[in-house]
Amino acid sequence: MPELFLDRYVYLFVLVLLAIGLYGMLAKRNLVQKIIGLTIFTTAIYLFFIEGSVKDGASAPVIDPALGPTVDAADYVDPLPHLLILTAIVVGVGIVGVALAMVVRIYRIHGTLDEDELVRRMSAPKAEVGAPGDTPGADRPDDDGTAADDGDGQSPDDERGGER
Amino acid sequence: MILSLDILLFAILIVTALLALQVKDLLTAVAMLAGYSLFAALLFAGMQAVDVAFVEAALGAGLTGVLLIAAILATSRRIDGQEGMLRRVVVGSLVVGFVALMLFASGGLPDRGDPEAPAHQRVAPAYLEGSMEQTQTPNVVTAVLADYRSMDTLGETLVILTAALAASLVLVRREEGEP
Repeated sequence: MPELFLDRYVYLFVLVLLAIGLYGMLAKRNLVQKIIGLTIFTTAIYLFFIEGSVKDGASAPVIDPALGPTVDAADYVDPLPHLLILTAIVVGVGIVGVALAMVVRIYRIHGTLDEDELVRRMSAPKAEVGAPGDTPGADRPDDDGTAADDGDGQSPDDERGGER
Repeated sequence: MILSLDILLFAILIVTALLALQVKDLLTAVAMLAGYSLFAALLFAGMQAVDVAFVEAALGAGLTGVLLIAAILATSRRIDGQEGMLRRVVVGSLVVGFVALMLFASGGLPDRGDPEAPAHQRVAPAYLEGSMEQTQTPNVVTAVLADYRSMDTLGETLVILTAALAASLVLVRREEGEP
């Protein structure tokens, strides 16, 4: 039994993190909390993938000439999962960026981030949605300008991720 | 990899993940999430994945947190409603089913650190052994990223461009009657 735990404990912990993230995505009503759940879930998947690259007695995949002219693959951990997860982290930031842009826009139109409240508003008759007085955000026009500025700041951030 | 350190880091990850979803203030939740990503980066470093640890610390803990804080400042940091009992039960049973399915599937996974695992058999040794000779790059992750699989990286930059375009389009467009 202890041996089974030593061989498998990373899978167990990753599974707990996946469950927490999934619960956050499905059960939480606040849209930003859902995105936080999504981030927890994706990071747990990264951990699972990197766990697949681990080899006993192996070091980081940077070739050391001191180990001799020929390279023995057993001395280094598997580089391929590292590369795939590097790509996945950058794409994950892109996903969060787009999701947050949608959240900001939903808040601008409906004035709330609560899922149940949004469903209630969207199933209401069409004229009410976006009508003056219906949106709490509508009586603060200067609030809107700052929101748009934040949005513009988001795209250079995303491009910086692409340059890496 | 030190077992007790590993277990401590995973315990911190679980606690910060729970806190990030339970606190009543979104900015606090983002701080917890940044801590979560940072400790995940430490775990990556412990698993000898140094490049992944750098990127996770910079993008996962840094940039994601900045984006979340920007969005929260543009919207609202309050969390209004609590999820209802029915929703908790339905989602809870779904999550239990998911965990059971994953536990069942994890029976086929290789043991930790097994050098004979199928993933270590074919293409990965070829990358490791050919990197110095074919690309003159000591860091194999760099060699695979920019040389062997550079088309993947090109596709990734396309994805980032698309995400940036989509985010700015969603934010710039205005409906009729929208302030």
